[in-house]
Parts: sequence; structure tokens; C-alpha cells
Amino acid sequence: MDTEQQHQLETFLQQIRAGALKYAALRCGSEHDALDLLQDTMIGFVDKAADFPQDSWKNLFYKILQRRITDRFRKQQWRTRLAQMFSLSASDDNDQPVFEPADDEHGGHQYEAAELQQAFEAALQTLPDRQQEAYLLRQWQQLSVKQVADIMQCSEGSVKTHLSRAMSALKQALGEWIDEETD
Amino acid sequence: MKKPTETKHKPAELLQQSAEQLAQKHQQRLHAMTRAAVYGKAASRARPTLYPAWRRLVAVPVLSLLGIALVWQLSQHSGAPHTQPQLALDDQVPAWVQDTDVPLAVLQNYDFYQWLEHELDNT
Repeated sequence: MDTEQQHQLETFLQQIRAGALKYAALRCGSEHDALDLLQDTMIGFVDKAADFPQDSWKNLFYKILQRRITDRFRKQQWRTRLAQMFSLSASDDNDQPVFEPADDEHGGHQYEAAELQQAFEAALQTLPDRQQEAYLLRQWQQLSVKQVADIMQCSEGSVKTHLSRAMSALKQALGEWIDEETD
Repeated sequence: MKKPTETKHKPAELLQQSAEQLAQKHQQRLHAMTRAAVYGKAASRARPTLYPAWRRLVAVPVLSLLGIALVWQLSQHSGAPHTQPQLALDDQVPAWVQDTDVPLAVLQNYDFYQWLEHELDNT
């Protein structure tokens, strides 16, 4: 790897790392775990990036990150099953946060920005995994449906279905303040 | 896509804002992991190309010497009982005997036959 390519990789990682960290934190519910996953992803990405054109790096990066997250979930499930087999009580830490919006006098939901952020993330956490992935990758990371399908390893039709359901659930939970539409 | 109003917020913007806050909180570690991934990986990649060549240069003569020493040691211990008597016998055998078709058993008991010949001459 030459100096120019190293510089390109460093710049790319600097641009993507904030969003990727947030994505991982939302998906696994822990900042500490998200940092570890991101570190593994960066190493895996740098190892493979040279074989891919630069315009596909974002897709490659999220594909690797998604695999790391999936692997982590599988390990967690395995541990949970083992714990259940040995009759150990499962931890309540993974309980999904419950969002209860407060109605104002006009019947709508009025939030300050920080509250909205918190409420939105809480609502996201209540979505099924696949809907979360589809929503975050398509609506936030602005990846194409084809790219999202590649990352999620499913068909484009499935991505659209997950996305549509996610949007409906979020609108139902948070009201009309969501200002975007699926394509 | 609709335009945002005063009461509406774009979720993507909220998420991006939240992402930047989180990144700010872990700025040092993110910076360190980025550097480690890019430059640390480059360093570790350099090893397979440089170190094996360096190792080969050292390993080949060292292993050869070890092999020679091992063979020499084995020949000193296990090969000695078989070769030494044969050499001693060869030294005692006259040159003319080596050109004959005398059986090996006779050659190995050359002392006996020499004694026998001497005794027969005396009688």
C-alpha cells in the first residue's frame, strides 16, 4: 500500500467513522461494544479496500460492519441459550426502551431538538433488527436500495418492505414530525 | 421529499447530530483506531514480505549446520560398531585377496585361516 492510498483510506475513515459509530451503537445498544466493532471493521476494511474502487468503499465498509454486528448478535444468542439451558436468569439489560410521546394541547407531539433526538432513537430501538438496518442504511446513510440489499444480504424488494414498515412504525410512534418519505 | 417546517425535523439530521456528538465524546479513540487501522496494517503487511526473506537467509545455513551436526552425531554413535571392524578387517586383508572371489565369511575369519595355514605348514 503506497502513501497516497493510505492518505485516501485515512480521509475516508475520518469521514465515515462518526456515522458508523452511531450506527453500531444504535444496532448493538452499547457505545463500548460499538467502538470495538468499529475498530474490527476498520481493520477488516483496510485489508480489503485496495481490491475495490473508491466509490464502493462506503458499501464495503457497512457490509463489513453489518457482518461484525450480526456475528455479535449470534454470540449473544448462543450465550443466552446456554444461560437458559443452565436455568440462569437472563439479563434484563436488553429490554427495549419504551417511548411514550407526550401529547400537547393541539393533539400533536411537540418536542425540543434534544428530546426529539432521544425520542427518535428510542423509537428506532423498538423496531425489529431488519427494519432498523434498512432504515438507517437507506434513509440516514443514503445508500441505494441495491447497496442496502447487498449489505443486508436480501432482495431489493425485501429492503423496500422493511423500509416501508419502519417508516410506518416511526410515524405511528412519533407523529407527523417525521419529514421524509421512502422512495 | 417534503421540505422541513418549523415543527418538523429530519430524522437524518437528528441522527447525524447525535453521531457527531458521540464521535466528539470518543474523538481520541476514534483517531487512534483510524491511524492503527491504516498505518498499523501497513506495518504488519510489510512483515510478510520483509521478514521471511530475512529469516530465510538466516534459517537456511543454520538448519543446514544443524542437519550436518545431527548426521555426524548419528554416524559417530550408531554407525561406529558396524564400520570400524570392517575397516580393521580391510586393513588386515592383503591386496591380492581383494581381487579374488573369496567369500566374505572367509575374509571375516582371516585370522583363523592364517593360523590354520601356519599350523599346517608346521606339521
